[in-house]
Amino acid sequence: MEKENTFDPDLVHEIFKLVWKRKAAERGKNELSENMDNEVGASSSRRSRPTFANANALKLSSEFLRIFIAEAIQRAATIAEAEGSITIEATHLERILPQLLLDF
Amino acid sequence: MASSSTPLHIRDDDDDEFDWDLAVKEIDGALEATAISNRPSSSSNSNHQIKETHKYPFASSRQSTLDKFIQNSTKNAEKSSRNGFGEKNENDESCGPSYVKIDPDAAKTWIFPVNFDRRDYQFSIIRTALFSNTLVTLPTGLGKTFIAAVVIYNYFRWFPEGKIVFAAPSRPLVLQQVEALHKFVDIPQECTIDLTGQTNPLRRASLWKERRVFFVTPQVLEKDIHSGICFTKHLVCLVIDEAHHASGNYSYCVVVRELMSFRVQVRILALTATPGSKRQAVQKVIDNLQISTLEYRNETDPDVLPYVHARKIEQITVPMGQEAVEVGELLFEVIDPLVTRLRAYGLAVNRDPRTLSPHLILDSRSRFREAPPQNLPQVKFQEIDGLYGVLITLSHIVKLLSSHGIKSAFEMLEEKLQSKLFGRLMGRNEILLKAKRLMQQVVSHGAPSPKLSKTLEILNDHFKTSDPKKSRVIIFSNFRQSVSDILLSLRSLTDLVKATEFIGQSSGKTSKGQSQKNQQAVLEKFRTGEYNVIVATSIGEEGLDIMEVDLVICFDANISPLRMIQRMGRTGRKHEGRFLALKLFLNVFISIDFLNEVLLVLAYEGRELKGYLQKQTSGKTIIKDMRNGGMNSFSFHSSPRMIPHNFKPEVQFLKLSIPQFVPRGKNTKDVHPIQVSAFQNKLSDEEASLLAKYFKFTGEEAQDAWRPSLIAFRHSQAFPSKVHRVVHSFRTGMLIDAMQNLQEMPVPRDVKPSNDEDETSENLSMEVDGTGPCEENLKGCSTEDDCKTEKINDSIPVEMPSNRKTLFLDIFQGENSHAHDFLFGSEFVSVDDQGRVIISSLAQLSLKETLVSKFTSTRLFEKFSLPEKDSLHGNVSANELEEKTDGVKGVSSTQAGTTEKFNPEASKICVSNAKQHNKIIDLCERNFGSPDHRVKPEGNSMGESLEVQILGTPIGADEPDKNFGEMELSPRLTNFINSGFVPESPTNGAVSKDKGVQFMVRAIFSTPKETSEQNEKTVGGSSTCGKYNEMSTPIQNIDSNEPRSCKYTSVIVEDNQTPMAKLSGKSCSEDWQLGSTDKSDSIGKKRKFRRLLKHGDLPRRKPTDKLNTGTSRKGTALSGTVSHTGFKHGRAIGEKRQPNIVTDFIEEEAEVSSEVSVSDDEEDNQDFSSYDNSFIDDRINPTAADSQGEAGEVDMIAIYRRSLLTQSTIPNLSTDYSPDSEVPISRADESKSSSGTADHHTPQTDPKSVTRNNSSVQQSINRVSPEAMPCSTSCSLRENKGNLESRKRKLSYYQATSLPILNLQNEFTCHSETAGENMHLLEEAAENVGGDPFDDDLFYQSIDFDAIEEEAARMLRNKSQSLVKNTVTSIPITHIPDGVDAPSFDLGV
Repeated sequence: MEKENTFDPDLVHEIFKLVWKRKAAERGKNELSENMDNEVGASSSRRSRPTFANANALKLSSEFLRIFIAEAIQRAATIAEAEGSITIEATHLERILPQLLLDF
Repeated sequence: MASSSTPLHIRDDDDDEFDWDLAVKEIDGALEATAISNRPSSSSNSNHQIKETHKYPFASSRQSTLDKFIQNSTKNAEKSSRNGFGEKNENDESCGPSYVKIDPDAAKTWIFPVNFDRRDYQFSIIRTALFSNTLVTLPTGLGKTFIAAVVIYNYFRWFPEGKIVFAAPSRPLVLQQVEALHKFVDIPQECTIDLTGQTNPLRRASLWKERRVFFVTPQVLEKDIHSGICFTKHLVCLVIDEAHHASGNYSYCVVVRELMSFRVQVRILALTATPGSKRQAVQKVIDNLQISTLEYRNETDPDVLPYVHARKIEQITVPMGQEAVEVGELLFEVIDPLVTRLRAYGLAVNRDPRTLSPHLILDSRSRFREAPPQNLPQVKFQEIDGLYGVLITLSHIVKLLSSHGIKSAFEMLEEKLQSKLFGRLMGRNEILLKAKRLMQQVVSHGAPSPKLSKTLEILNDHFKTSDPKKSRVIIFSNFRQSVSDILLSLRSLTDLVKATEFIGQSSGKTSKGQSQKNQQAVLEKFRTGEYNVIVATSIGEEGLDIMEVDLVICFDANISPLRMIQRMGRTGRKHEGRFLALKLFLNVFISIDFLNEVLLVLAYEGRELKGYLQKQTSGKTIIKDMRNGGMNSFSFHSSPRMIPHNFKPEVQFLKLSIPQFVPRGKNTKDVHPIQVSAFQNKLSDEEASLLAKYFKFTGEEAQDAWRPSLIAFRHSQAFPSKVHRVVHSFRTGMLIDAMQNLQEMPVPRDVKPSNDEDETSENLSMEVDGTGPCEENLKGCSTEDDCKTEKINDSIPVEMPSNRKTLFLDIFQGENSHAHDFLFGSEFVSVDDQGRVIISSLAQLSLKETLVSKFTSTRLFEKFSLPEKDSLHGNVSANELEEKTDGVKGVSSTQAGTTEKFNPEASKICVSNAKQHNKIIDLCERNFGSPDHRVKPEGNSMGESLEVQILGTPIGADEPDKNFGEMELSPRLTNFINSGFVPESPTNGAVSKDKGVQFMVRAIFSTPKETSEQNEKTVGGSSTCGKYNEMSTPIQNIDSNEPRSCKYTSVIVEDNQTPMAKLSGKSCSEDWQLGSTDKSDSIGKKRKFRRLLKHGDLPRRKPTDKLNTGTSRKGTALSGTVSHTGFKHGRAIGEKRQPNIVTDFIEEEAEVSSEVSVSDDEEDNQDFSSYDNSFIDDRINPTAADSQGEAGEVDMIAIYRRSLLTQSTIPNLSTDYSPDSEVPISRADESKSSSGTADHHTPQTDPKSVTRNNSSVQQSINRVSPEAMPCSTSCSLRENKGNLESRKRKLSYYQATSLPILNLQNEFTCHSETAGENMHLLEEAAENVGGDPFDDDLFYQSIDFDAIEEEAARMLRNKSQSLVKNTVTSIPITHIPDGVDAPSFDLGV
């Protein structure tokens, strides 16, 4: 695969971490902050990012994402072309999205 | 400032020129010229200082400069080797650029940013600091960091390759300074880095290489200088924050020594608020940091004063409490003898024990250890040492007691008693134990320390007057133990106070330290307001720049003034702050007896206070020393000249454009901030606008961000999209199939109303052709039916597996989307109706094909369904037409076959679907399982019963009710079965079992077929019935599956009743089936169309189905049932005119199944409601409009129902499911037949069935059932009524949708109109027509028609009128389709 063209795993990792963080934050919201003692510790490091991914998983993820996005763009592009549009609009994406999602 | 400075400048120039000349001459004659030119600037700087600060008399300033040079010259000899000062340095400096290049352009000026208020003292300090090593002593909160930032910035400019280091003693401070620096000056963020112990040394090495401004902790700097990764040669500026730390071997000193040993020329800027409380300490700092200039400002200095925020210092004295005093006395009693003993050894502990402090005892002990008294034997040493230890502990406890209350002291005492030494020595000390008991008592009482309660009180007051969200409070305490105590007590104020601790890293026995990371987190939260109270140990004293702190509570006042100042410095930075020093104050009024003690204690307290004041005064003396620039008090060091003499930087006031500081991510290294800014810069406006269009970044609105819709383009999902590299998955295939099913189902039907060219034309032709041929076909079929039926029977088992497969497929799809099932069901139903006819002709073929088709794919089914529909129509219209249809639709032949196959299957499926729908979710399981339960007759009965129940129960109730109904009905059915059905049932049951119990539908179908056959056979036994049965059977066969089921029921009826009844039942059932199925199909289709129309222009889209899915499906089924019911009702009504009789008959029938009748009655009532409900449910989509339209219709329906009610109980049952409904209908028919009218009915039903077949064909073709309706005249009247009702219902739907529905409405209107107008004629014609296909039927028809027609006509008229009235609105719309309908009517007629 076009390894040199794939996403930077670090970037993907950052994105993942962002998502994890948000999820954790959502979770945190649900869980009431129990006691002040824990907050005193303010041990934000572990709790805020409970999820990890190793390097290979990240590589795989980035490649997967690359393929996914490339496929999405290509498909949307065909739709856009069929409509004579030069730019891919959201509607083009929406048109191919259900099948795209099922394909992956 | 500039203007004011110029005169000074000139004046000073003269003075300084002289100085400079002297100096330069002394230093280097060769540099004289340049020196002269250079010096003015620096000298002017110094003069500016003097002038602006108004502190330095000229003489002193001159002296100071002279001093410097003298020092330089004098020290050169001493230090040249080490520090590189003096002439050589000057020379080196001139060639300094060899080390670090200087930017000649930049060096012409130095920049003073004016982004903020320009403060003169800052300006002058900076000017000094730029050109000499300076110790800046500035009260807290007055912008030391700004000074550092400007100095750094200028060095950053001057030396493009120089490295600048900013050292601060703790990591939080480091990070804080990073941010502050970026706030003040625009040093590119990518050039700066903060290095702490956290950073990997390897990484530090590379960072040292890449970056230019470093924010470090001194330890890191020391290490890196040692290891050599720090580019010391390129170092041009070193800023030392909190410089008072620079004593002893602290890293600051080490670093500076190292740098000096490397002969690095570096500008040193030291910052502190508290250089030291003693002259010696300050001198040490100056020495250690090689300071050459002291810049001191006091809060009282005139140029500083304006910027000092009011800071209120309050001392609150808190009475100590009697218990504490008592305990203190006891402790002193314990201490006394110890001190005495020590004294006995001649040790210098001769103070009053009450004035002893741990420090003094420590001192004494260390003295003892260093030089033990000669006269003491060695053995005593240990004892004395132990005594000292005990004393120290005790005095510490006393101190704790006085400063933190009994609790802390008690805990300490307890802890100490555990320890070996103390425990051994003091464990049995009565007095101490007494004190301990007393303390324990107090502690166990939970009496809060007076300080704590006072603290709480203060906090409470504070937050009452100031916003808890904006105000910040820091509470200082010396001991961690008290920190946690305070925290604990603060919990009582949780609503106001969110407190946390802020302590050092080291972990003690009782509490774990806070890592620096945690400290930072705490500070961050404190800043953001998550916490508004910090309880800190001494770590919080220095440098934390928290603007909002407006109250500092000092829990223990007995600290050094230096720390006090630092503590005070935490407040009043932004606005007025309050500084509270809580002091323990023993209650003076304890008692006279204790006066002595009290005095002592007071003395103790006084000592604390005195110490504080003492320190303050000593601070003042040092201030005095420093006030003069320290020139007289301190010896300064020479500083290297960083700027070559040929440069004389001039001040340049510049407004800097300072980029937003991007804080580093906590875990990211350094890439992050750059990336963020870079990504924003890299975006074009277009891209940015795109981003803004689809993504809103502002926090809360993020939820409103655009999200792609998955249902926006449903029609696009019916076809596989083009792929790039990733091929479609199986699931996508499923989706496409499902979508095709959903969408294409309506398409053909829709097409008709939507005027799709080919299909519609074909359909029309089909209709036109079909009507005539249909009848013929029907007739022919009827004749052939017997054979066909046999074939069918034969084929049935074959079909069964295929059916099963199809069912499976359907089921799967159904599982995937219930809507699909319904769609299939409806399709199948339609197919069934049409397919029935087809089946008669093509049954066998279809079976085989179906298998193949089944195997092919579900898509085929969907496709087939479309073609099937067409083909079905064609088939229905005429078997002959099948070829045409096949031809038309290339695939249609096979498809037709498949469709045909499907049709029976479909019909079965439909039934099953209906049942399944009723049962709903468990479709597959139930189907599979259902056979077991239902066995033979039960299955049918179950379905019927279920339907009935379903009808009775609101649609919403659905499954459970239905299921229950099924269960309930089953006994009824069983009763029926027992009565007359039983004989049939075994066969059916056997068949069903044989076919595979799995699918009830199949079994049912098979059973109906068989039953029909059997019925035919059996009925055949009966003369008239036999004919009719035969006729009916073929018809039924033609009708296919549904008729089979109908037949099934009808057979049952027949068995029970006369053959006439059977015939009628069959015919009725057929008719019902046909009409109902067609209608139901049409309804479903129409609904789909309606929905489609509503939703979008595309009728094909089943998204509506999706949207309505469950409801729509149910609705379709319901609609079908409704239509059936309507028909049934109509028929029933026709029959009802003899309602009493009918009811009697029904009752009679009920006797057969008394339960059923009862249930029927109940059901009837329920049915109405259920119908309404069902309608409502069906109409749910159109809802309001439907309800509106329906209201009138409903009334009509209600009337019908009422009329029917008596009779219709059974029909109601039948109404639920077309096949099932047929059975009940047949029952009704039977009942009718049993009544005199029944005979009429039966013939009527037969012709109706025929006509209906025709009509159904036509209807199916046109899908405008009205034609068929009129065709069937009297029967049609009933049907029409039913149709009308259904149409009305449809109309209501249409009205609701009102857009595409028009066709339907038109149809309805046409039907109503035509029905009303042509009813008689039509009825007659229908009779004739009906008579044509069924010879025998004609008689019946004629008979029935006469009586019934009149009634029916009346009913129809009334209905039609009402309908017309109701539909008036819709009528205009309908006109166009009327034309279409008219021919259909003609044809039908």
